[in-house]
Amino acid sequence: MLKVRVIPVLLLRHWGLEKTIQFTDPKYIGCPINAARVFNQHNVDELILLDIVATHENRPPEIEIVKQISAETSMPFTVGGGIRNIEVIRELLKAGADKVVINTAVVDVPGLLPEAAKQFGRQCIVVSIDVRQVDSNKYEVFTHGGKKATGIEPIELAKRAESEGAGEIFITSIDRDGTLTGYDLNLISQITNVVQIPVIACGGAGSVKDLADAYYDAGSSAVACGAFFLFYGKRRTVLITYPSEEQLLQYFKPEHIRKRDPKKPIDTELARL
Amino acid sequence: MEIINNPYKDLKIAIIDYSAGNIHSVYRAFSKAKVSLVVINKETELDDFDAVILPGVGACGTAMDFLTQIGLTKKLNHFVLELKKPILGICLGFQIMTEFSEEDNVKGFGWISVKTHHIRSVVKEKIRVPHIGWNDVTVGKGELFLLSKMIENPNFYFAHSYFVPLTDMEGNIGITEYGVPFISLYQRGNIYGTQFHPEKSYSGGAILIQNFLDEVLHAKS
Repeated sequence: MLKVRVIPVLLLRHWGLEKTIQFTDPKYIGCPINAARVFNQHNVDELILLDIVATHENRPPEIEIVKQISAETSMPFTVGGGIRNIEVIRELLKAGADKVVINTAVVDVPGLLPEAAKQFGRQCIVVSIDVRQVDSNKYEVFTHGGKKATGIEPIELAKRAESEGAGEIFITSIDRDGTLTGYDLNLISQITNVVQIPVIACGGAGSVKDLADAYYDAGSSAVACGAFFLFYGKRRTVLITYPSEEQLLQYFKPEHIRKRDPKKPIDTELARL
Repeated sequence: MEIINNPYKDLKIAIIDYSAGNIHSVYRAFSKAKVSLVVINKETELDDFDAVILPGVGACGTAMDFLTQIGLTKKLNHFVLELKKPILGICLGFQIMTEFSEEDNVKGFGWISVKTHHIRSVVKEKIRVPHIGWNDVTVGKGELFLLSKMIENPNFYFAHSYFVPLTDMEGNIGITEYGVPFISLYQRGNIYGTQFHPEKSYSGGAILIQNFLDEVLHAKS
């Protein structure tokens, strides 16, 4: 049976790893390569890396980071940030990324999605949608790292992305980002109800129960988190963690949890970044 | 750590690059065994190689067109059908070993006499496609050397929309279920295939690659 994917999300600014709250107030965390090493030791289901200033700086993610992570890990990982053309996708996949994330260009660059799906297969094309709640039950898509309002509803964009060749939807609630207050289950359900491709939930997870809620109640295929796996305790000390199989078993059915490699010790010094 | 008396060091292995795949990960996974690796993206003699890897990612039509364009289709057929040397297809590389793929209506190599299908064309119940993530691989009848030295029914990483159906095959296959049971691991004579990505499946994948290299060594001796 297909397992739930529990996915750490790393936000990059070139070679630095950062974490935001509601897409603002970036806090420097450390080196993304070290973080990827520790997550690899944790045997994570998948890793997502997003360069949050790439679109603003009109450039793709650092290809060298992708090569280094590919060289030092044996896990699936996904890369995004500022991707606007086919050649960049080709380079990222060749460097070892399994999937690429396209966000702003889905709205901005007509024709990119269908061409990418045709050349590389839709299984490696993830469309990321950043959403703010603008009214009591009204959501709006924001591009350019959450800065630009589009006037588009998330449901509409998700359906369009699916029809144009997206293989997955990565849905993020900007309002919940970094808050550890739980996913916006209403938003996630809206998306999982209208598409038939896998949906990755992101924004707000702070506990294993939050992960299970997005999976069982909102129908997401994968659950992604940043702050939950990067900070420890009330003071938000930097420490990389990842739920054990035992912790997941408290809220997930055994058949939905992946069998991991036999336990190996985690480098706790490295985990402090 | 340097492997002393590395048994694989004299193996010469070709990785086919269709310029649409994750060559780097596959390359790194095999280079850990210190075999001699050559990436091939143009017409090249394959006869001297001990094994060929057809990696995954990409679309079937694009991949077959590319191979024909650069003149590798004939060389590969010769390598597999006449020299009968080991070949490992990963994900898309496995699918193009079959007769035909619905994907882009292209012809595959036909080394495996079965047709590749889209999951959606067979599974009518509500299921999310592509099939992405970790899933079980169970052994059908017979034995699977590629899965030896591993935990029972290990999990591997998948990312695909098309699948190779079971039809009336018996033995020497690994089976995975996603709306429909399909072949996730294949082993017949010199032809090996995985629908999942061993290079992205942690130590289980690394053991599988080592098992394949043992088979290559065995074939060579």
